[in-house]
Amino acid sequence: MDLIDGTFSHKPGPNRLGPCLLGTAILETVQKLNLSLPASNELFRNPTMATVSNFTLSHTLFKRLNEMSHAMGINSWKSDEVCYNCSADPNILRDDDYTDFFHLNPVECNEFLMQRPAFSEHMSYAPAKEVYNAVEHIY
Amino acid sequence: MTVTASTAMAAAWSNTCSSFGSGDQTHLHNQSGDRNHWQVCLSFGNIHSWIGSKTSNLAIVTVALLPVSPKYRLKCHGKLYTVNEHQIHNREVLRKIFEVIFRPLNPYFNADRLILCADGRMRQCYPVICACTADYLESSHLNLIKRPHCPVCEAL
Repeated sequence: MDLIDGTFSHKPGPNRLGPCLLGTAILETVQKLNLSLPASNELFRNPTMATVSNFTLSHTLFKRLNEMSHAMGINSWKSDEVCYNCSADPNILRDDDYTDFFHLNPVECNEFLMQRPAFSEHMSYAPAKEVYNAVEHIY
Repeated sequence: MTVTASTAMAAAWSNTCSSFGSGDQTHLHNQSGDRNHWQVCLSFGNIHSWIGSKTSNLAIVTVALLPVSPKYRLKCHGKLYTVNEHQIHNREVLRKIFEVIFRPLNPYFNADRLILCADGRMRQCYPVICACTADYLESSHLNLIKRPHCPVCEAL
């Protein structure tokens, strides 16, 4: 817990799932499930699931959903708590005084962005040195 | 800062992963109190906008969902002074939250990290945040600037 001059009270919270269910996961769902999206006019006339998805059984859909992995792992979200009430005594703080906030590790986010295949053709890297059979290769 | 020969050699084979942050506060609805949502995102700065703005490329990652400071409606004597005190406190708390969120980047200012790149090769990288975009409201919050002063220059 950080207590700086009694103005800032912060404590790490339990590692639980944030309310953010990763928009990235939704996008990957659309990509992996190969949903056939009809024209908006057709969807407007007959807005049933049959016009949106190729799946006829909900079991098949949920089975494919369970097989999916989230982009950065659902457990990578961390939650911390912070106190906004400046009139509260920093030594005696109740649970109501804390407000949750959720965050990821920015280093992992940077790694995730570096590994995006969409960027591979548009990035310029410094040469990579690798050694195979005592011979140094530069790529 | 002096750069030793070994550091210079290492830097010649290293990549700088220059990402940029962005964030804005979004008003959700009025029915159940004033619900706001404030997310901070991370993306790469040297990518064409037509690649980065395509949602299926997953070019923008949400790093944090910040807490929105509560509003104080005080009906007491010395109201203005108390509200100002709360505003200063809230800004300081927000600054500290950013410090907590981006603390994992601190060791990589001087030391590199092996990262698997999109072409399948491991490279020595320096993950740094080189820029941050925000509108005037967020800039004044983050830089602890009194409105309507300029967050960039010293002009009033």
